[in-house]
Amino acid sequence: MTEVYLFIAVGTIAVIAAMMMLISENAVHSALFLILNFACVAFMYLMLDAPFLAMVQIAVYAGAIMVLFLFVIMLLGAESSESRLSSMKAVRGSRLHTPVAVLLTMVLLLTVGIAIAQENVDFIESDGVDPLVRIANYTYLAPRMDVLVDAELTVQGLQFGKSSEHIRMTAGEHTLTLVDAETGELVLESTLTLEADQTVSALVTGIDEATLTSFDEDLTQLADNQTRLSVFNATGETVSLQDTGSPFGSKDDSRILVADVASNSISTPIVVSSGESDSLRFIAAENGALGEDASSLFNIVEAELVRDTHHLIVLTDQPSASEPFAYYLATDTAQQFGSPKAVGQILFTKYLLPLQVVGLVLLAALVGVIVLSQRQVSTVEVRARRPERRRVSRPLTSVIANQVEDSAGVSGGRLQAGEEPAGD
Amino acid sequence: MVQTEAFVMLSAVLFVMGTLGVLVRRNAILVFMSVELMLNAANLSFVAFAKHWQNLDGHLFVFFVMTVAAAEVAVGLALIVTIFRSKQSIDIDELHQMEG
Repeated sequence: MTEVYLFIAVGTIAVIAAMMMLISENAVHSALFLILNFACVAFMYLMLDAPFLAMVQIAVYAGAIMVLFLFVIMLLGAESSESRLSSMKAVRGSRLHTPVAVLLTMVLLLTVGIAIAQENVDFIESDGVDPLVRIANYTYLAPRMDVLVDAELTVQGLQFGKSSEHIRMTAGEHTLTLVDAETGELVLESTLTLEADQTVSALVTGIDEATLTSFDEDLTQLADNQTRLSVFNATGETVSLQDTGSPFGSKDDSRILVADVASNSISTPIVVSSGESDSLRFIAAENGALGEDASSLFNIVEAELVRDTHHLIVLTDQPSASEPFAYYLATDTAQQFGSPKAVGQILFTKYLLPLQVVGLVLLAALVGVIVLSQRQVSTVEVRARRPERRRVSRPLTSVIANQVEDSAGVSGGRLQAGEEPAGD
Repeated sequence: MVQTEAFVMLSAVLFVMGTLGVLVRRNAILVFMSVELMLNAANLSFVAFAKHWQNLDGHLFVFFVMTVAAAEVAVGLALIVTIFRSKQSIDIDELHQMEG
């Protein structure tokens, strides 16, 4: 409810500020009210999960643009030009557009009001974002694998131990067909049921027979210096993951990070501090008993847990060796909606061309402003400037002439000729 | 949780006020400021819909609108200064003749 009250309060201030901007006689007051309005809009951006835009709004709009406005208003002395002129110009017929404007406003507001009152505007909740799916190949049956989603080739030549990019799919049931990329042999056919807002990983595992396990992953960002870790167990045994502190540490100073992951299942993700180059060890535990007889299965020495990354450790059996092997799959976590990082990422990937076009537009504006101001100097002020310059430069030339012990007339003339372009 | 339509309504009201300013005021700088108000109202609904559909493209559009608005203000104010220098007035009613 607090949010609603805040919205009402700030929204009212925004509307009142806009109204005051329209009716105040003094142009400086109008500009200041507009700044207040921009600040309120920036607050609205914060409420709408757009912190980056809120800061840009304050810095660019309320800062740069409005300072430019105030500067021009004060430069021209145009604070109250309207009120001064309105007394003599009011008789003109052009005042007709005030009632027309008010009428148009009323019609527009009435239309919006009627549309909302009649519920013609669809106030539907969005049914979520389409799910993202990635497929990872951990089966020894196909070192390179093609993935067909609903009989359409989606991923080509997916190598062993690698994962595909996240693919956006529609919610609902899909048929996954996995084919060996070299022989064209069918590896596996399976159905995948997806819901909105999900981020699904589908792992293909198995030595003799391929199985597909899909699970929902949490890729949201964590606080600084934290990272998320989950374990997928593709071996036949129940395993636990132990943090041994150092590669040769004793069992006493170790702690269990993930306990009892059943065969072919994913552990619930745990949050650990990032950056530590810990040594992790997988151990097989019979019925969860972690006594002296818990046998060590696999050691990961110096696991690097990078921040802003989601780590998935896949433990699989190997066909030739008795010992299983752990594969490490690191994924960048999703950036928080509207954060500077997320906006920057999309700006420099999807919107790189528009960004450059906007840069060109700014350049053109810069050149345009310079041309405009140059033209004004050459037409209006050329005559007024000449005598003024001579007056200013004379004491300076005599000072310089004294210093170089030259005749004042010659050096003064030379200096004047040299100074003119710099003055412009 | 404030609904999206509340933001869109606020944006509509602000936009209408900007339109009013453009039509009613005769000071060129104030007309310009009203245009800025309209741009801001449009930006607000962009951001509101971006939140509604959880799509970041709306934010990028606002970013570009802000950039173009900055360029537009720079050129527009330079024009106003030039016009003021030649006509000694920035009343838009007096600018009905396109003469330098």
